This record gives sequence, structure tokens and C-alpha cells, in this order.
Amino acid sequence: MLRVESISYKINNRYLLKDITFSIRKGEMVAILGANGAGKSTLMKILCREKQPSEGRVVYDAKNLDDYSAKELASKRATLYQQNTVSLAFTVEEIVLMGRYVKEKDNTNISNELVLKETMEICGVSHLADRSMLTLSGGEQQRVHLARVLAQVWDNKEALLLLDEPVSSMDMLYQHQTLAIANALTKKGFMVVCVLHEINLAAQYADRVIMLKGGRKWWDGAPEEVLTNRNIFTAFGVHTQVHTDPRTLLTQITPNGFKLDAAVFNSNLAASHNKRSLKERFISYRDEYPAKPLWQIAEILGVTPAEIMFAGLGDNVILLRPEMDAILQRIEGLGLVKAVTYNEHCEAERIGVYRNFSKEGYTTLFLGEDIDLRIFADRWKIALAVEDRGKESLQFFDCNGKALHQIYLTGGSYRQVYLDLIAEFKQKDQSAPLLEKTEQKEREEKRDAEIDISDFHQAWNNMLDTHEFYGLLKRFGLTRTQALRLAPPSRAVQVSLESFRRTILNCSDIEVPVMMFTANEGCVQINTGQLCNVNSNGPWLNLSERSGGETRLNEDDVHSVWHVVKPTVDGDVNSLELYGANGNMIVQFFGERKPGIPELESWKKVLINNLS
Amino acid sequence: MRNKKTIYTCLTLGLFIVVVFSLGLGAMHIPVLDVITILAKRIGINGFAAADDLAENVLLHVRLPRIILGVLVGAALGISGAAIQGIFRNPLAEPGLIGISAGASLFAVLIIGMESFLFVSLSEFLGFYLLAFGAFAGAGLAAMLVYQFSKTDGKPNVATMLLAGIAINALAGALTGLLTYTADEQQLRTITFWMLGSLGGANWDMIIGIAPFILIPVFLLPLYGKGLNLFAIGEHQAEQIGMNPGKIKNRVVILSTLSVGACVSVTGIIGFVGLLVPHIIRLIGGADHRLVLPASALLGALVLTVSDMLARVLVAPVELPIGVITALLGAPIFLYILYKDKKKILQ
Repeated sequence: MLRVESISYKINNRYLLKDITFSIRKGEMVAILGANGAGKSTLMKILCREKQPSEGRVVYDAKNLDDYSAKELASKRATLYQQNTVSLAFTVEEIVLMGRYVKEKDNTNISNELVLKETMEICGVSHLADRSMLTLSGGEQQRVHLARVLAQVWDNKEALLLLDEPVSSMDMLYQHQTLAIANALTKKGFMVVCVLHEINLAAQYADRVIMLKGGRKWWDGAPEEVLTNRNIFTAFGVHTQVHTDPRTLLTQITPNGFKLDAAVFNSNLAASHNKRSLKERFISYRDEYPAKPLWQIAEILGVTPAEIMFAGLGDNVILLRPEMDAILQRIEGLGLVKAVTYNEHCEAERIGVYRNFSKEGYTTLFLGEDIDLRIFADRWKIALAVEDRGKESLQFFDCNGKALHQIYLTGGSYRQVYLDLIAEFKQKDQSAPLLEKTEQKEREEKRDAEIDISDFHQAWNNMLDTHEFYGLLKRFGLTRTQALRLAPPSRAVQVSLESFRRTILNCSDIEVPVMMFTANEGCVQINTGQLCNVNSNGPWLNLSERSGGETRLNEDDVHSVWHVVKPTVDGDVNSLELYGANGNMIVQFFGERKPGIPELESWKKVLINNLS
Repeated sequence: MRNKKTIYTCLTLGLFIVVVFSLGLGAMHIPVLDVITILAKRIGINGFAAADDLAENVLLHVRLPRIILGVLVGAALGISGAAIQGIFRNPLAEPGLIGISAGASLFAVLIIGMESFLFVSLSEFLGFYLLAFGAFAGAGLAAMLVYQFSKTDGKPNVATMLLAGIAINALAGALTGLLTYTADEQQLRTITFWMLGSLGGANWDMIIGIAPFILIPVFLLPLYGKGLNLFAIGEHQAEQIGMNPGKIKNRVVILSTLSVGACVSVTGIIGFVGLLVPHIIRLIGGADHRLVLPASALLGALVLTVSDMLARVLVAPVELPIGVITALLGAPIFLYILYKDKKKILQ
């Protein structure tokens, strides 16, 4: 048994390994995985006693690794290094025999000739026995060294075999052969620790996988436990598909692969040198990353979403007169359409009819059963009709070119009404309008001391409607997260992302209908309904509604989750609010509710059950 | 396994023949039969026809010490060349090339320059010890410097090793040159002799003086054959097999610099023997140091005896410096090896 007891290794006060603990039992084959610089090789050097840990210790067969004499250890442990260069013209046989040097005197029952013959046979180098090492290829040389390492511990039944990237220079046959040899030896009682780069080989041959990241042990467990696409992405930054082979039940990993556009390598060239048009670059990017939202592709290309669309003017994009209220009033006539609203962290879509257009001050409202929107139409500056990949849509942008809202035609839409609408509102001058690109002013957070806390608490406790909250923020000059932080006792409590997840899953399980508010600068979309499916895809949490609506939020972006309680005339209203690192609201969750009716008891219960 | 016995037999036989043959050659020709007679008489076997006294005197007091010195120095250069190549894990390492000989000769020249301060005549018994120790110190210092410089990531790097060798050679050469300016005529002649190498000064005192410095390494170094073999696959790898590379390295370097220093102190710099002899052995018998080390000693002795013989007879009665002969023989062979194996050597 090999026990590694909280070892750390540092050079110049920089930790290459930090607090690593694990143990390996007799007959176990452990693969060490990790990106370059994760600490794999350092760990191996400590295990083979080439380096001393700065802290902690390694215990091998109930004896401190330091307490072994070199000879004693040599008979119990053999190491295959990643690089082995032989500069003098030794023959293959001579090299393999070197593994037996320490043995020759106190010879056990097996003769050296037999060991030599067996190990060379197994490693497939028998036919090279008399060849000089200098004339062999890298892979052949590595096999000879493997034979030497095996020869060293061949007559031991329970030795420790340390392999540092043993197969990197070998061809496919010997990669598998080598690991199969190691695996077979574990059945005999060997312990094998093996640094690997090829993740599929680890899945296939290792009993256990230890994944290192930044010098720490990140995961440790059976290959099928550790090798999930999420873990692999965390460790290596590569998206993968992980399957289980139905025949062998082994985990198989297929990397998604990268595609790069050579145009990005020339970013330092003037735009005129960049021969490909924005539209071509956009299309090529979108083909590579079909899942990436428009705003992200725009960011990569260094433009705004609106500018990408402008590139299609005169072709598949038509500029409409920015008479927003007039256009919006006509949407109901389109019949069933899909409404999409997103911000950087969350995206909501829902199919329905834009019913009950109304205006309340600056705010335009659609209070339909399916489509429930608050629109700040004064922010809406650009309206486009877009035909893209067979889908027709109306898209709205603000003065900075940021996408605010999209309306897609569906099978249930009246296309003629759409065409008439476009014809009526088509701008005469179809050249791209100038964007103002006003600098987004970061709202400076006031110092807490400048705020009249008791007044604020009183105002919070006297709220009659949740809508008043925004006015409250304005009145006291608070940012949202600051307001939550300074809230009256038990009115706002920070909870973990995990408990948020539990709550939402619970809502889906016991059928508690919820309202999800997805907002950006120009629009709030409220999807109300019963969740029927909650699942993760990478960092994205997908919430599907029974009505066919969908809300997707990026959990990696979630910085804080708050449970907020606001008083109204109908009693307290509970909500879960998710915020990003900059204090931006990602999404808000309420129980389904209508003015004049108290909040759902079941929603309150779910919160109490899952948050406390 | 290659036939070790044949190699040893051939080398020993060859050495014996060459020694006997070269005892007879020189300014005064002594027939082989006479040589055998005189030697036999010395060890108490009479019954051969007596040779004349002059021949006996020349043989016993001029030729024999000179040839024994040649055998000793050749053996020392051969075996230490092989050992140092093993330690540096590189067939280009040679005492002359990487500055060890230059270091030894610099210290030897220093001692010669300070002869008047040392109250010891360097032509006496004690003087040989002093010179040998001085040369050993110089050789050891140079070896240590080169090894430290050439080590990158725990293994010696060939390019750095050769560059460090060039630098040390240049430095030692410059300092030696500086000393020649302050030297008087007699010292100047001695110093010149150092730079080219010669077995000319051989006498029995000298041989008894340096014999231990050469014989001890020649008999001890072969014990490190296995250790040096493991060195060839890397220090770390050797450690994993259960050797202590640090210990082996220290001992081998001390023993080889000791013998090289002793040689340089009595014969000056004789190049190429330490480089070529192990190469030839490896070509014939493979890289196993358990063979290479003793066989290099034998072949080194043989090569140096032949070279000295040529130095004496080629332009007799004048003598060529032996360094000239070894360089004339060695340089072309060295170039041939470079041409043939350049890819293998400088990896």
C-alpha cells in the first residue's frame, strides 16, 4: 500500500503541489491526469523519491519512503521516465540487463536470462536484442526501457510501478500493449501509478483516475465518475462528448475539436486588409459555434449585434422606421409568434400571441396569457426585419446596437400580415443608421454610511406592490445588490446556488408554477408556468416549461443568489433573485401570482423547505 | 555477449610484442634476441649468450624506464578517457578537449615557475610527488568547473560542456603563456616540453614517483563498470535502479583526474589518446564499461608505446614530441568518427 499524506512541494514560495492526499491499494492501477503544468510530473518525482516534498510524507508498505535504502527500494519500485536518452552505443540486451544490476549478487530463484527473455518478449523487443540503442526509433527505445523497468521488479510479486507518460512516443499498438501489461501486472498484485495525456487510455485501463489542476487534487475516483464532460472541461478547457460504450461499459471521450478562423490571427491588420466581409466572418463563426448567442459572436468579432445585422441590409435584412409603438400594436395580428429576450447570462423564449397592448407612462405592456412583457420603448431605437436560415423575425436594438427583443414567426403565424407590416414600415433609405454608442456609465455605489438606513427599512416594510421596489432604489440611490445587503432583517437573505437549484427542481417535481423575469435594458419578459424539465448542459441550466417556453441561464456567471421578501397589499411576496459579478440581475423567480390574490402557499413552502 | 576473452588476449599479446620490439629500436639498434637475453638476465635467468655492456646499459637505464612510462601513461590516459566519457555520458568528453589536461599543465607550470620558492628540486623523488599533486589539483578543478557549467536540468549538455572546455583551455593557455614571460631559459625549455608532451625525461625515480597515481586508478576504475553503464541511461534512472550516482560520479572523477594529473605532470599534454582509444574499443567490443575500461587501459598503453617508438625512430637521431605523433594519428581518425557518427554524437 502506498499512502501519500498531504504532500506539498514549493519552489521559491510558489506551490507546484498543494496538500495532496491519496492512497493506493495493492492491485490498483491509478492514472494521473491533468493539463500541462498541473503538477503531474512533480508528483511522480516525489513518488519515486527524486524530489523531497516540502510538506507531508509518502509511506510505502508501512515505512516512510525516506527510510528505504536505495537498493531496498530498487527491488520494490521501478520507474519509467518520460525521456530516456542513451548516448553510448549499448545494445538493447545490455540496456535491459541493467535493470538486473542490483539483483545479480543476491540472485533469487529466477535466473537473469529468463527474466531478460520474458520481459523483452512482452515488450516486443526480442528481435532487436543485438541492435544498438542509437539506431532505434523513439518508440522502440521507450519499449526497451519499459523492458528494463519490468526486469528490475520482475521477481517481486507486489512492486510499485511508476510510469511517467510512458506511451507518448509509442504507436497505437504499443500504447495499448504497454498499458495492458501494466494492467495485467496489477492483477498479480502490482501497484501502478501512470501519468497519461490520452484520456481515453486512462478510461480504458485505469481502475482509478486522479485529476490534478493547478497543483491540487481536483477529483479522485473511478474513470466513469471522474471523466464527465464538465470535469474534463474544468481540467483541460476542452468540450467533449462522454459516452458509455454499450458493449464494454467503458467510458469513451470524444473531444469536440476546435476550429479557428485564420482571420482572427490578423487582427492587427487594418480593416481594409481583412478581405473577408463582416458578414462572411459572422457566418463562418456561427457555423463553428452554432450554440453561441449573437451577442457573444459580435463580441468576438469586435462589433455590436446590430452591426452584424446591418451587414445584411439590402440582402436578407430590411431596416424599418423606428416607430416602435406603431409596430408593436400590429404584432398581435401576426398570430402565434415566438418572443425572445436575453441578457448576457440568461435567455427566455415563449410562443404565444402578443395580446392586450397597453401603455402605462413610458412603459409598453403586453399582458397576455403566454406573452407577458414590459417594454421601455424609448430605449428601442432600431427595428429590423431579418430573414436568416429560413426563419423570419423582427429584431429590436438600442442606440448602442445591443439586442433587446426578437419576435420570430412560427408555423402558426400569419405571414401575409408580416409582409404587409414590413412593406408599410420599410425605411426609404436602407443604409445602416449610425449608432450612438454612448458609454455605459457604471453606477457608482454610494457608501453605506451615506444612506439613511432606518428610512430605507421603513420604506421597504411599507411597500404596497413589488413594482415599488424600483422607485425605492431610485429614491435612496441604491444599487440592487446594495439594497439587498442593507435590507431590513430577514427581508433579504443570501443563499447558495445549490439550494437555488434544489428549489427549482422541487418546483418542477411537485408542480409549483413559477414566474421567471428575464430582463435587459429595454425589456422584461415574464415566463409564467409549470416547469416540466430542468437539466444542465455545461454551465447552462435549462428550464423547460410545460407550455413550451424555455429559460436558460449560465450558472457559471451567478455570483450571488438572494431570497427576497417584499410586502404588498396582498401579503408578503417571496422571490429568488440571481445576480452576476457586476451586480447585474440575471433572472428573478416568483411563485405564479396575480394582483389581488395572495402568494401561492406551495411556493412559500418550497422556499422554506429548500432554503433553510 | 561479444567475445571479451579474444579482445583481452589480442591486446595483451599486442602490447607485449610492441614493448619488446620498441625496446630494440632507437638510435642504437639492439636485436630482439639481445633484448630478451638482457631482460632474462636481470630477472636471474642466465644461459643465453651475453650481450655487450653498452647495450645493457642503454636498455636498462634509458629505454626500459621510458617504455614503462609510456605503458603507464598510455594506460592511464586510455582508462580515464573512457571513464570521463562515461561520466559525461558523451563520447566527445576527453581530458584534453574539455580542459582537464590544460588545468593540470597550468598548475604544473605554476609549480615549475615557483621552483626556487619551494626548496625542492623537481627532478628529485619528492619533487615528482609535488608536481603530480599540483597537476592533480589543476585537473580536478578544471573537471569540476566543466561539469558544473555543462549541467542543465541535472544532465550534462554536450554543447555547454565543449564550450566550457574551450574557455578553460583558453584561460589555462593564456595563464601558461603569461608564465613563460617570467620564466628563465631553463624553465622556458621545460614549459615548452609541457605543451607538446614527451616521454624523454623518463627515469626510474620518476616512474616510482608516479606509479601509485596511475596504478591505483587503473586497477580501481574497472570496478565502476556497472555504475558507468547505468550512468549512460541517466543519473535519475540509475538512482531508481538502486545505484548512488553522486558517489560513483565523485569517485570516478577523482580517480581519473588523479591519473590524468599524474601523467601531465611527467609527460606534458598528450592529446587524442583518451578520446580515440575508448572509441576504438567500443567499435570492436560494444559500449559495456566492464569491457571498455580495462581494454582502454591496454589499448592506450599499446598506442602510446607505438607512438613513442615512432617519435624516436622516424627522424632519428632527432626526436619528435610524442604529442605531435598522437595528434597526427588521432586527428584524422577523430574527423572520420565525427563524419561517420555526427548525428549520434551531437544529439
